[in-house]
Amino acid sequence: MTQTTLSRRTVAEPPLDPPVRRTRSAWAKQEERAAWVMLTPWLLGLVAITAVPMVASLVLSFTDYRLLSSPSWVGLENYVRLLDDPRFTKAIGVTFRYVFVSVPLQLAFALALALLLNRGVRGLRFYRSAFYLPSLLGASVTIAILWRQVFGSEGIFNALLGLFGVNGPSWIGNPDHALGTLVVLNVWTFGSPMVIFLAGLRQIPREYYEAAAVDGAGRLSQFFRVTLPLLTPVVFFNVILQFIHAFQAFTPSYIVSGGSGGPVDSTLFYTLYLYQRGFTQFEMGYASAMAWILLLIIGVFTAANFVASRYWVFYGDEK
Amino acid sequence: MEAKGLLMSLPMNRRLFLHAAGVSLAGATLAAAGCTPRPTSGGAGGGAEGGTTVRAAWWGGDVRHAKFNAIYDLYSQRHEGVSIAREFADYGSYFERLPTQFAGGNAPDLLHVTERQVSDYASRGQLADLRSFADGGPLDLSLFSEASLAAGEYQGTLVMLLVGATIPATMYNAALFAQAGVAEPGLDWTWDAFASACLELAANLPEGSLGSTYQAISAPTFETTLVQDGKSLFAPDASAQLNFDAADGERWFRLWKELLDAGGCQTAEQTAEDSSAPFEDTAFAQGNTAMHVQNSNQLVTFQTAVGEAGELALAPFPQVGGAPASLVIGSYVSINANATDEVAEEAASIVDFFVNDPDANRIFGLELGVPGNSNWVEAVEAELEPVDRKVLEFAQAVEAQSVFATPRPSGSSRADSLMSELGLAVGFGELDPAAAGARLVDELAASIGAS
Amino acid sequence: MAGDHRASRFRRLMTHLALLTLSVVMLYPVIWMLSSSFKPQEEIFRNQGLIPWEVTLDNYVEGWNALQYGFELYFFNSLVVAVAAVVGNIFSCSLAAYALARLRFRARRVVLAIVLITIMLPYHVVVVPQYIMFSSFGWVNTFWPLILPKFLATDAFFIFLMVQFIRALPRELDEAATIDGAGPYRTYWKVILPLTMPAMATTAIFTFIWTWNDFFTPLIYLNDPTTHTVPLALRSFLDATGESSYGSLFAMSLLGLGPIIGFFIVAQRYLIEGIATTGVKG
Repeated sequence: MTQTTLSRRTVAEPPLDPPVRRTRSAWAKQEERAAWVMLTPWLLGLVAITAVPMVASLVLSFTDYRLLSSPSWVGLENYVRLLDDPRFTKAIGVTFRYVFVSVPLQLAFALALALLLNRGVRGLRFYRSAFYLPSLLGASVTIAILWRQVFGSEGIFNALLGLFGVNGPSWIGNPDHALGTLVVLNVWTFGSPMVIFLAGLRQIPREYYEAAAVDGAGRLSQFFRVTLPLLTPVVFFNVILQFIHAFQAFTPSYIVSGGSGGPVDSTLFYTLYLYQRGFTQFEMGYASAMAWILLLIIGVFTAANFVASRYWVFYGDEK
Repeated sequence: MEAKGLLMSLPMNRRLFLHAAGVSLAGATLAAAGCTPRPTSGGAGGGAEGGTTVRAAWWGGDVRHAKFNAIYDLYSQRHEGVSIAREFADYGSYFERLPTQFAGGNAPDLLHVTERQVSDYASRGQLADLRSFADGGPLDLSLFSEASLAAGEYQGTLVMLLVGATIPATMYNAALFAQAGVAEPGLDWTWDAFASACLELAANLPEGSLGSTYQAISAPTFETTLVQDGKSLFAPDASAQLNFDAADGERWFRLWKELLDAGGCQTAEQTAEDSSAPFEDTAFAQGNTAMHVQNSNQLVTFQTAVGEAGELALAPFPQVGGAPASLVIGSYVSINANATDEVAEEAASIVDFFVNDPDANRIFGLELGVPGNSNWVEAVEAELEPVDRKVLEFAQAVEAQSVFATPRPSGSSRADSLMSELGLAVGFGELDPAAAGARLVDELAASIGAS
Repeated sequence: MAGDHRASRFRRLMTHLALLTLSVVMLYPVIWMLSSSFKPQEEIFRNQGLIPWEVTLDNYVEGWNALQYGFELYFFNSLVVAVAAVVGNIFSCSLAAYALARLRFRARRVVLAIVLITIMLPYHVVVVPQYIMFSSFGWVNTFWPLILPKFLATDAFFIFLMVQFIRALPRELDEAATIDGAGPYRTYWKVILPLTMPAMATTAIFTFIWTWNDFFTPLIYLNDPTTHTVPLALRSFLDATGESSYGSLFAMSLLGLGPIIGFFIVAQRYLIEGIATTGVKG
């Protein structure tokens, strides 16, 4: 790839040359102080709101905690029990399939439409709103009913198939297809990553395009030389966050399957199973152990993504 | 205590829930309690102190919320200085929030439970002994049937009081039966009669109509067949034991699988689709199947959905086991054991108002099913809608064969999701009935920690 | 030239056709809900087509007042919580993000890692400890458990979002400011904030919508009906153990979309007014 203005260095480190010729250490001190001042709200929140429950859940994962009585220490028992819990294995399978199919699809869709809309189509506002509207509904209780209207045996999807003489099954009632409808549901709500992509595209300085045009670059080459590299931090963000989101997916299955993860556990997402254990079976210790295993899985996955990002993400703050 | 002794000597009484436990006993308790049969003023003394606030929680939809609100408003009107703070949510959300509130030591004073969840709270001492408010206190239990009181006991303590009992029963569409020329079910019908009716219905009704929904997925229906053999899902004393074996499960799954394969009931796929659908949008409510198993008090919901297309009626679930029997499940009210004495006393007075005051009874009607006290039934009987009358008459008709579901042990909530999973797996042909029966026993035993 | 022109017009037409078709497909469920909201309650599941047999406004009129309080109260509550959350997130997350994206300090990588880790833990296991904590502060039935965390940047998602956007900005932009003698605070205020308008707008939109739609947190903390938000009220129309009012549910759900659509339409102006339109010079 031809890179003129941007380097490939992506290590999370800002450049080390302060542009002003004050003494290096005075500047660094001011910067360090400012950083901590600006991080104060976050730090307070971490200590007061986030950290305590997080640590509590870690500790509880080593206990038998039935919610209504005090926890009792059981060491690694919850983790050991997880190893031969068939529903746990099932939930992992379901979740991985969901994550690796729905996220790439959703992101591809979102990026394609963001690029299309960014070209200044007439009626841009209408389309953007239309495409975004489903995301507003994504978590609503009405989705369960609406989804039957689309993918039930008598839904619109089968009505369309009927035009071609195909007699479709009940997509949500069949264990082979139910997860597929949730993938579609996730793709349907591509509005959020699309908006983020659009915002990213809008933030690319016009000068770069002008410079590229002066160099005689065509539209395609502008896209590869300017748009795509400058958009990579935002692409990276969407990849990381949509994957985390998908790993933690709960609401789609909770609403569409009525909380069961059915039919026959075919939509038993990891967090849905965790929730069933914690809130309906009152095994909060077990649920906490599950949570920390999920954190580990996501953590490893995210770290791998960060490592890989060195080879494809370009930051404007690097030279 | 004397009530308990009486129950033990008269085991048949366990099956009666509509009628009070004998006039002599009721009279005796009344005398002892020094209450009048119409204790609207019973709590007035307790509530006289200014500024008592009782937090009351329940589950339901907007229709039920309006009834609760009207009753509690009426109570506040009659008892100056008492305010009732209300917390309500739909069934699922309600039981999501409640454990969190108890864990945080911030639970409502007055709450509603069923035999499914009560052990989780009662076993940790979170629910007050209601009899402690009865003798000389504001709560009059004298008109409650022995059986309904026994059903609210957890290990000998009355931790919940019945506000509505319902029977998982066969709901059928009489119009479809007439159309197919099939005789309507009687009170004493058997599985064979049911299965042949299903096949006849399927054969005689237009394409796409079926005899019954597929009920292999329903834990209460399965338990109904267990009760017919004198068994139950869990040990009656709520200890961590099952009270059935794999063969019972296998029989259950096999019966349904055979019916399904013969084309007598819904496919597993349709069943799965319907299981997360609004009532109004299920095959039975749409008039596509002639029979369905559902809690009897929901007849009105289904009748509204079906509308004039067909009149619905109730019959017991057919006899599969040794003797005809129907399972009764209930909605109950409890008092939080952590409430202060003053608040708990006031809460008990509110409970008394709720179950014994004719005005309150008339507002609530049979919203949650048939109550356990005869005076409530008397208060509402005259003004019942035809559909509700059917529900009441059905309960009376099967009263002699009714058996209350007992509090389930902790961890038992898996029963419903497991039953649904296995029933569908059998229906889809992923599991054979024997394997499903074995898994039912294994996984259920594991979830309650049975040894 | 002329052929070229025609070809591009044809292409534009096709683009619009494709976009319109996609819009219809995307919006079908919403259109179905809209149509159902004008049907009488009994008709909703009897006539599942898009065209009502009978058009009525009952669901809107009755739905608005079907619950203990009118919906104006629930809308007001939702609005208070959502607006406060937007202010909180923009304030706290952008500060933290600027520090993490541009300032050099020890422990920077550690802080970033912690930010990410807090996103990774499933929410449901921290519910109970958090409830115990807030309930011991006496904050049940107040908006504090919903608002305060936003002012303390606990929505780490948005920190990371803004870090990525700020880092995508060319460094020369704020270097110019530093050469003019601006310190970190002024650079943040004068350069970074205006230039990351699209990111701020995105944050505002998402925060508003997610807070508006959130069900679980209000369910647990807002028990008193006078504090209920719109999603809690909507859930009152549904109950698995009795009668449900689908007509009112649909009607009020659609009205509930109003404020979020309105917010989106207002905020999307700022999505466009990024650096691309304002330019970087000056």
